[in-house]
Parts: sequence; structure tokens; C-alpha cells
Amino acid sequence: MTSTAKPDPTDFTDIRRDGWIGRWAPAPFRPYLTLARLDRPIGTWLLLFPCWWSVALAAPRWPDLWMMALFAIGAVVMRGAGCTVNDILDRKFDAMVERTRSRPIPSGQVSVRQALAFLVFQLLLGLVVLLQFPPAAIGLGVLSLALVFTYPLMKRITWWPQAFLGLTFNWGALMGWAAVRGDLDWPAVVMYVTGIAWTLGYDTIYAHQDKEDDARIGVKSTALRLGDTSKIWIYGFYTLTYAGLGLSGRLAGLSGLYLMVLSLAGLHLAWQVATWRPDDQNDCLDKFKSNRWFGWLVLAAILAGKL
Amino acid sequence: MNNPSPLDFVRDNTTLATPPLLPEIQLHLATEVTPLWEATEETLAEKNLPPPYWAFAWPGGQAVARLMLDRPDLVAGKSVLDFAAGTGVVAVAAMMAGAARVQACDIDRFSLAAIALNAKANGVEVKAVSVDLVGRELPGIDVVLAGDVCYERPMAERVTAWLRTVAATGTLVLLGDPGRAYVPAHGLEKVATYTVPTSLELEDRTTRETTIWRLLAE
Repeated sequence: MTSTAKPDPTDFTDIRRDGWIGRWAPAPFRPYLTLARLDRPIGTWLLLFPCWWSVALAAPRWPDLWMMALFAIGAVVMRGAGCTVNDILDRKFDAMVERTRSRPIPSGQVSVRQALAFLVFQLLLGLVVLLQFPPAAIGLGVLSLALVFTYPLMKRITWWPQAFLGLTFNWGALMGWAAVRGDLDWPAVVMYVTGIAWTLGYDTIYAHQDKEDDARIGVKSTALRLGDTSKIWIYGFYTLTYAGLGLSGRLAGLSGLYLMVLSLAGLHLAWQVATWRPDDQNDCLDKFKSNRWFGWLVLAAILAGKL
Repeated sequence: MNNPSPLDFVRDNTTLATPPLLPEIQLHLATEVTPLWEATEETLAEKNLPPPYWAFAWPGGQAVARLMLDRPDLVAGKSVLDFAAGTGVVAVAAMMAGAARVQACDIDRFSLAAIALNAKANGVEVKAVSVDLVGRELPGIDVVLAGDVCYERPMAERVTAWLRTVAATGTLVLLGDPGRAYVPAHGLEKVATYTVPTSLELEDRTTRETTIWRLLAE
């Protein structure tokens, strides 16, 4: 034998050269767009949906599109900020690992100082978005920073970092309501707690990959060792999610149509777990990403409940 | 103790451990990347130092060392160079296999201290030098051993081009590679394969199929 099979390029790096950033973005911007993970939007969707659900739930009738757009921008920049913080903190470790060696900071495309400047830029954009909201939502937004910035540290410390991730990623369930109504109420609180169960479910699926590949919202894959009982746990988390969302909508006075459409979202969750193959890397990632469709179904259910 | 000697530094920041594939050998190894790296920067009062590769037993190096112990005939009585030695595990194994003399080279300052300590821990003598040998001729060297040198494109291209010219002079050149991205696609001859247990954190999987290739002149 005189040659070796080349590994699939996607095996050794988590930077996509053939993604839209590599093809369409001007070269000087590429490392920054990569730093913010704009080519991997699932993390943004998972951050955004609790905001949108909550805005829709709190709206007198139809949700204000401007408000929805503000949350979309906020989710993109805050998720980007979180990823940037993560890459700054993990830069040394990333440099030793083949998969992460070509990320913008360890590969030297962006200095730590530049990354910090980019972080400040994203946070300022986030601030501009936040200042469009009433005082209660502004207060909540400021409070969320404590979670956003401690998450990369907590994932190394806490025994069950997924729970902490859930606290962070579902904060929008409180903010959306506060942005519309100017206060907090039980439907939003129930939705927030419910969102944590949802996160525990999807992140357990995510943790079954041995690569911390796509969304980079999870934790070290060894963190969650539910082992063979994972499916049972996820059924449990998803059942809580379904029941909690049902309760939240009813508390907010949504009609019976809400529960009917919500049952489709519940079926989606059941499909995820039933067809999930924990040992199949691609399937783990696909099922994890399919939560985007769950997000749309829940949003549709809330809108239907307003009819 | 603000400015320990490199030897003290390596001793203080590592523990003696046995790499999974090499029960015969003990090495000064670190368990965590970041604290060690920050300690090296603090000690040298310098930022942007290269990663502390010398504190980890990379699968490519382990496999080459294993081959030395399994096939001592490859190096017995010969003059050997361990290129980009890191821990020096390959040099140690080559000495244990009966090489006449072994030189280990690495451009990292701490690597030299690590090689010295690791040689001592295993009761062998290794001459460690801190020079970039790439591009130079290697008179008097019969065998060049290199573990895990193809993980970065610029280094891999530079090193393999040079090692091919070394191979062209009749020197045996062996590369240990766990499937890195920039291993040459041709001009290689398979010598042996080992399954090396690895850490999920550094290698994304619990084992790496690692091949020892003989690099050909072309």
C-alpha cells in the first residue's frame, strides 16, 4: 500500500470552508462572522423561539412584527456574543485540538484584542435593541448578562450544566412578555420553567454526539451521562415541555384551538425521541436541529389560540 | 519561586504517568491544557507562546514508540533522530530498543527539559537539541522518527518535503500518524497500525487508529 485515504475534510475541523461565509462574505469579515457562528443558526433559533412565543402569548391579539424583529436581532447578536466569549475563554484548549485548531482565535486570524472589540460591538447592538423595550424588559435584559457571561464558566463547574444552559437560553420567555406588557405574570414564568425542560431534552440529544460540532451551545459531551436511560429521561423532559406549554397558554387565556395545534408540536417531540438513534452522530445532530420546527409549531399554536 | 528552571517547571507542572499504549514507559505528563499553558506564559513572562505539546503523549508518538519496542531490529545499533520530539517518548523507546545513540530535537524550550526528565525517568540517555533542523542535511543519522507532525498545513508541508530529501539519501524515515489532515496522500508505505486509546477531550474519540508510515523519497 502506498497511499492513504484522505479523511473527509469535515472530520477534522469544525470550520466550514464551503459555507456561505466562505463563499459570499468579504474576506476581512469572515473570521468575525465565524466567531459569531452566523453559519450555524440553530443556536440562534433555540434562543429566539422562547422570545417569540412569549411576545405572541402576551400580545393583545396579533404580535407586533417590529417587536418580533427586535428580538430576532437581539438573539443573533447575543448568541454571537456568547460564542465570542466562549472562543476567547477556550482559545488555548482549542489550539491543541485538531477540530478546533482552525477557529478564528487559535489560528491567529483574529487577536484576542480584536475579538474583545467585536464582543463589545455586538453587546452595543444588543443594548440598542434592549433600549427599545419598556423598563421591566430592560431590567430583565441587564439581569440576563449575568447568566450569559457565567455560562462558559459554569459549564466547567456545575454538575449538570444543561440546567444552567436552560436558565440562560429560555430567558426570552420572561423578556418577551415584559417587552409587551411591561410586567411579569404567571404565563411567562410557567413558560420559562417549561423552556428549561425543553432545553434539558434537546441538549441531552446533542450531548450524545462525540463531537461538539454544530451549534456550540452544548457542553463537553461527557458531561451528561444518563447512559442507556437517555430516551426515558428525554420522554420525561419533553412531556413536561408539552404539559407546561399547555398550562402557560391556558393561563394566558388562549382558546382550545391552541391545545389542538400544540398537540402537533407534542407529536413532533414524540417523533424526535421515538425515531432517535443515540449512536448515530448525524441523527443526533438532525434531531437536535429539528427543534427549530418544534419552535415554529408552538408559535403557530399560540397564534391559532388567538383566533 | 517566580522563575524556576525549566526542569523544575516541568517537574512541578506534570505527573509521572504511563501512556496507554506503552506500559514499559513513564513520562512527565499534564492532564489539563489551559492551566499549564498559562503557567508557561507566566514563567517566561511572555504571551503568545506555542501550545505545550511536550506535556502530552500524542497518539502518533505513542504508536512510533510502540513500534520501536515491538520491532527493535528497526533501530538496534543505529543512530536515530527523534524529530519534533515533544515529550521525547519516541527517543526513549528507541534507546530502550537498543539504538546506538538517539538525538531528540524540538523547537520548544520546555520540551528539552521534558525530554531530559523523561529519559532519566526511564534510565536511558538521550541527547536533546533545540534547533529547527528542517532543511538541513543529517549526516550520520540512520533513522528519522517523527510522531504526529501533520496536524497543521504549513508545518506538515515543510516537514514532509524536507524529510523526503532525507529519505532520498537512504535514511529510513518513519511517520506516526493518527489520521491528521495534512498527511501526504502518496509516497507512503504502511509499516504498522496500532489502536491508541485517546482522551475524548483532545481527540474527539476514545481511540485513534494510528499508522506508522515509511516516507518515500517520492
